[in-house]
Amino acid sequence: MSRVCRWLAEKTARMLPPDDRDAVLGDLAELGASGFQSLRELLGLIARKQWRPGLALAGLACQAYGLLLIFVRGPAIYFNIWWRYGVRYEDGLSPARDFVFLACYCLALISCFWTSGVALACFSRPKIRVPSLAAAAMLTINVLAIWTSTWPQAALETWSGGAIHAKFVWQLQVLRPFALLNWPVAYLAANALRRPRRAQ
Amino acid sequence: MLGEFEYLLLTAAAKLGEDAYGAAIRQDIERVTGRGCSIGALYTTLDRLEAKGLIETWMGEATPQRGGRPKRMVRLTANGTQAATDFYNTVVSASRGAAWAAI
Repeated sequence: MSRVCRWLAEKTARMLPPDDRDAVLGDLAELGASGFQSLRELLGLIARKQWRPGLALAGLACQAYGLLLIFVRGPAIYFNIWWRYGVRYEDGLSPARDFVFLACYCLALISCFWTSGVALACFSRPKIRVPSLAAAAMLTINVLAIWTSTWPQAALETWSGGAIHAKFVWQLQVLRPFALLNWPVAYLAANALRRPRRAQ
Repeated sequence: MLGEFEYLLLTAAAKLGEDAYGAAIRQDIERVTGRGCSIGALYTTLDRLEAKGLIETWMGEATPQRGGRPKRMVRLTANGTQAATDFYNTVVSASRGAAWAAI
């Protein structure tokens, strides 16, 4: 087992630049690390140096794509009609509900970009702690935006007398965006709830 | 302002002098703090300190205990010494009057 781990560690070390690889493998040999320990240490180093920023950036790129595709398109239609024709887009909602719906959308967008930036900062510097109040506010804004995002669909169903009925609305419009797009919010909320480790 | 781990690393390198390199610094930090220090934390912090101009590193000689692999030697720069001194003075000055400061 140890020989397999050592062999894997040697292969894993090839992902590092030559100087780093020699220095790290030499240090591990000098410290008498077992094959498993060497593999764990090397994976930790590679994750810190190479994978973590890449994974975070890939996640944020997906999030930005999703935001533009799903979140921005809805309000853009509303604002476009108001800008071009000077009338309110009739989606079956009352003006007050329309205002709340759009306000929640805009706040959610702002909060998503803010949390994305903070999440990226947390990845590059794990000691950053987000205040519980800020995390709770971001979570609340996102939950409100997700909840209000179902209003136009519900209004459309009411207006059509049930003729228009989208299946799996809850799963598609609520859970999927929340799971895919709001991972920085979930990450920050989890980070804020985590208790600080007691000093030894 | 330095971080806690950055200060520990600079202090270990300063104490070790000409013998400051990855494994020796790691052992010193573990001895002083009583906690484990991962290679990942050590080498990413070394890279960061070097990028800030607080240390300089170069590849040293290889030894049989290291399987013939060279060491990454570490030396503080003048800026590194100044940053560590500033951090130390800040901690000492901030601790004055605290219950644990006299211990």
